[in-house]
Amino acid sequence: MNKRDLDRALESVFQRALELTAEQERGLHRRILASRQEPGAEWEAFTQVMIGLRARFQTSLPNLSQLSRQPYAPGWGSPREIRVISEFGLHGVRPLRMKRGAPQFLLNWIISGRQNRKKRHPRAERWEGANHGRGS
Amino acid sequence: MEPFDAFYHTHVRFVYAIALARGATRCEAEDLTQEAFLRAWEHFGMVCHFEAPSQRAWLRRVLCNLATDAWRRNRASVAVADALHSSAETPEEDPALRLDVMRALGTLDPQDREIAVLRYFLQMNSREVGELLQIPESTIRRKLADCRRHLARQLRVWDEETEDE
Repeated sequence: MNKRDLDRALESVFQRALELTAEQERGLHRRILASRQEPGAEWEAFTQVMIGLRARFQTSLPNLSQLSRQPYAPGWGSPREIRVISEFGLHGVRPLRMKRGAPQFLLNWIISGRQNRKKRHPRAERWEGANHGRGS
Repeated sequence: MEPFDAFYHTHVRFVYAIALARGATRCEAEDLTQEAFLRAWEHFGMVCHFEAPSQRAWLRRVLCNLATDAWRRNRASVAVADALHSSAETPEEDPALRLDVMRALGTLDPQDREIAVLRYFLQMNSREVGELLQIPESTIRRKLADCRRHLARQLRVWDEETEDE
């Protein structure tokens, strides 16, 4: 068998063994088309989830501007915290205007301000005790 | 027909053949072909301006990278025998012939395997194969002569059957 015949025979064998059928080719094309659509569908689903989450958080987590519109109601916080605010106030903010449900960081800020003041004026504690006893 | 569909129909056999030459089973070859065309879709704005040989070279490079990634993920080279077990053969296909061809290809080194598939399955000539693989034409001819001898020995039974038909 010469080289050309051998080549022809090998071509025939390879065609029969490895051929991509028309059905396979169509199936593959469908899969590619479907995969091309997927990123759009995923993005759409992601957008829907994010919109849902946003709506949920808006109702369950009021922001600070909403807090500031709430009226003051007595009974907020522990007795010590109320005393701290009512006795010392803070930078011109009247104690009774402190809002119910104010964030914890604001309370910490108020308490730390009181502690700093104690450091600067050691006698204030005695004065405070005396005043407190007199007042009650 | 959309430009991408035309591109697909022009190159699908080529991409599939390269996947087989890389040692993939039929199912894996289909998956790799799909992935390669999805990459082509992502970069189609660039790829559509290429000439056909450059498109083929681009697709081959993408497919080789994908095959390497897949191999790294699996950490197991594909056994030739898997070709029979892992995929459902279509009725008109002869599993024994397919297995024998894959086995014969498996005995070649990867570059020779690719050259043989390009020559005998896609019927490209030595010059086209050389341009695609960036190997001198004379080297391709020499390698093809070795492949021809080797494959003829391995597939002698099937050649005789072809003659009978």
